[in-house]
Amino acid sequence: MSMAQRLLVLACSRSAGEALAALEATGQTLPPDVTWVNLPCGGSVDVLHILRALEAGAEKVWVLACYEGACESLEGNRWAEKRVQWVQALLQEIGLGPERVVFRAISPTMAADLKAWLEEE
Amino acid sequence: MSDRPRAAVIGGGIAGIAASLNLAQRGIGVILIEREAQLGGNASTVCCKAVGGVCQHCGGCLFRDHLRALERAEGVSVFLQTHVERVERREGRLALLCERAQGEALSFEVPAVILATGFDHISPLAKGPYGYGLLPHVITGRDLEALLQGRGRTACNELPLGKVAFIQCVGSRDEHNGRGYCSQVCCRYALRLARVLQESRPEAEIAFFKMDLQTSGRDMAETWAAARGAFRIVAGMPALLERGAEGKVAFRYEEVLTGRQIRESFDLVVLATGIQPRADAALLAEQFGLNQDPSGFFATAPDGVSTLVPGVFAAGCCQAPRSIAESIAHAHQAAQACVLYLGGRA
Amino acid sequence: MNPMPGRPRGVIVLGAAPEALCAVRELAALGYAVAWLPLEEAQAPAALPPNVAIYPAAELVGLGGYAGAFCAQVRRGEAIECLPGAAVLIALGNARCYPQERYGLPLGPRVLTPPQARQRLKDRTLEALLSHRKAHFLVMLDWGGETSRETAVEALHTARALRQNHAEVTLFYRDLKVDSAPLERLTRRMREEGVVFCRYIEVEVRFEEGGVHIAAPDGLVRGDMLILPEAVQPHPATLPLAALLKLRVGKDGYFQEVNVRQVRPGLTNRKGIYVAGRCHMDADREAALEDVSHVVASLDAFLHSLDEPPSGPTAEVERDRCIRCLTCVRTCPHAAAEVVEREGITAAYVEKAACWGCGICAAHCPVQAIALKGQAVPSWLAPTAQGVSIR
Ligand code: SF4
Ligand code: SF4
Ligand code: SF4
Ligand code: SF4
Repeated sequence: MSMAQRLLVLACSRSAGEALAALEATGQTLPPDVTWVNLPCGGSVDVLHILRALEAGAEKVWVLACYEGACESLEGNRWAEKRVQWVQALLQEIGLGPERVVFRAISPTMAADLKAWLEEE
Repeated sequence: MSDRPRAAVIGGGIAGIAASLNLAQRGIGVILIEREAQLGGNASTVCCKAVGGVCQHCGGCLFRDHLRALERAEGVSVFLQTHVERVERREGRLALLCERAQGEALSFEVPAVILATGFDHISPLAKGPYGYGLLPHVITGRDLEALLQGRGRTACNELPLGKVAFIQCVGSRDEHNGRGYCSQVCCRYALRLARVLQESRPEAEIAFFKMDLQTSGRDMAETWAAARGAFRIVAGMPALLERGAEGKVAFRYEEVLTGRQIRESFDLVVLATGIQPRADAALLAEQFGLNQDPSGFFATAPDGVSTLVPGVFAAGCCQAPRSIAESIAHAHQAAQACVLYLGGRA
Repeated sequence: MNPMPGRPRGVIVLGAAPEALCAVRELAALGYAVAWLPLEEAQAPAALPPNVAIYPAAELVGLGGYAGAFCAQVRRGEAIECLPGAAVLIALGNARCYPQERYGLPLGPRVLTPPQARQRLKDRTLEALLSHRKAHFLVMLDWGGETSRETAVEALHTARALRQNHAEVTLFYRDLKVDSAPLERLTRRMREEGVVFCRYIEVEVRFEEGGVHIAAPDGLVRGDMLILPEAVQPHPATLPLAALLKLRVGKDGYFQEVNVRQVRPGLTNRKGIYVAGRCHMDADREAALEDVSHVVASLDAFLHSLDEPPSGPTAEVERDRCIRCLTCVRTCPHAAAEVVEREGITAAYVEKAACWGCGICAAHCPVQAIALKGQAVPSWLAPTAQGVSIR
């Protein structure tokens, strides 16, 4: 099993996963060079997930989770953000661009925003 | 499945889905009937109003949460593009004679029905002098929701966000229009939307024209704390909206507290329209033999969910205006009453 | 009707608020055996259904078990007793106070709270004032901050009662709360009955000989007494109970429902534990009792679904790898992980019935001893014990 190279999305299935489902329900699909991995909650994103994605050759990793106050597991989104920050600091330290890892908050109603972000990237 | 007790839910909006989920959780088979080609109704058009990375508890995402739960639920049969044509009573059971998209007939016989038919948005034309459809840059809160949901936050960049006026109670709390009631949701959505606009254009000057702002409730606490200082809140309702200079919208209002007459122009006017009974509420009431309250919502016993017809229950906004979260809660209660009724008959 | 044919279940109700009594009655009517712990001195209602056991003086010292099989540990005298229940419903209600700092005015002969005014109407100590001439009461809402919904409604009812006793009543307000049909009816009727409504933004209150003077937009209003609503605050037992039950409390000090994303009304961060009424919302009494019905409906449906195997992923601990660091116990937001001795090993254990499958524990465990069963992650992404090399 391998992955597309450009962008790996580690997605909270309750927010980003639903936004993607809404997008797909309108007949749209992800660009072929984007790999999407649904996780049950932003809080289950492990630092090792992000590092392994970079190791596997992803140019960029996005971690998408709920807005503060909307996470079903209360602080899963905050854990996700903290882990992204941790990896960013690590990348900085070893001389790689910290912008390779991005945290973004999203809600299930934001299919249009998700589309715009993907187009921008 | 065939020997499960069954119930029908009419209307696949947020209340209908919530009621179906509650019934399905108890192992009751549900026939969910939706007129449109998709589930969701009004709740599916609500946009996310998170600001500064923080959720404003508008309830917009609850629709997709419910849809996901419905996909997993067992025993719910969904019939899209289906509506009830006639209702017959057969030995205490209700026969729903339905019509599907291509004129195909379909009928169900069930012991109990939950009506969750939702609401219509009050037409902004109900308030003639507000110039909706005639003046540029006069939109409804619902238009704004749909714009943000359909096009994303970047849609804000295309709006003229210099001076923005939110006009509350458009069509609500207006006895002359037969809607003496407060629609409950419009102050909340307008304040939240205003914060979204302000986030994308911090220098925007936003004013609210209101009779009384409804800001109570825990889910509004943060929004109101932030909005209070950020927006100009005017006690006074605009009269006639007119074309102003440079494509602006101008209107005159009387400031209630000072009695001063003021004329002001705005780049964008958002009309906070509210909730009214669906146009076909009277028809449904007739089919099922229900009463409507003076405003046209389905009348219920003091429990708020049992209609006066045995075996027929009402959930969500077809019974009274309520928010998304409140509609869900109400739907659960309606399902509970329905279960007790089914049990009592078994 | 027995809600669980062949399987009677119990529910534990905590709290002494009117909501608790309402919940007890509704649950009993559904056929549940109810164990009711008021947790404070309270008068037991005269008639309770036979399937309700009330433990008036019992102290709750812990809650064991999980959804479907909770056990409320209760101290009665010397002994600790276990009361079983499949679910827990909390209805503590809130507490009241007179917010003297907000108003900058102490209570006194000319300043009353609505309950005090009602009391005086009842025991007729206002009679002298009411009969000797047309008494004028000034009721002030939203002064120094928004009045809570509950106490605002109470002030409205009080204003109406005074008016019905032939007093003159002027009600000062900033934003009238009309967002419910009963409230709208109430204010309309009050207007018809002659209560004067006066909107303000800023007012000045002075006490002068024999009266209260309020400088308002409409000019100077002179009255005999000022009625100032109370404020609500979280019930003092909220924090200790939340700590004991591992429940979340919001920034404002009230119980937190899991949050807006929840599909089930009243559900807390722990499966099978629900909150209802004014211990988690700002509501008037009527709305709080309605909330109880909503929450009971969602709780009852949940208990019916207990026999189904839980769907979705759940965490599973590889117990011989666990180093008992307690990280999962600390970080699980749903209190589903604990360190226990089982089959001769003391290690972390996740109760399936309590787990929400969020995976937070798995991401935290320093030795990757926790896996989410039922959740597929591409193998090239799965954390391994080996190092990582980034290109
Ligand atoms: S409740 Fe509303 S604001 Fe909060 S995340 Fe959901 S859609 Fe966004
Ligand atoms: S919610 Fe606000 S805008 Fe809507 S009808 Fe009530 S008072 Fe008017
Ligand atoms: S975090 Fe891992 S090692 Fe620590 S107690 Fe839990 S399972 Fe054991
Ligand atoms: S997955 Fe882990 S953290 Fe999440 S609820 Fe289950 S035990 Fe708790």
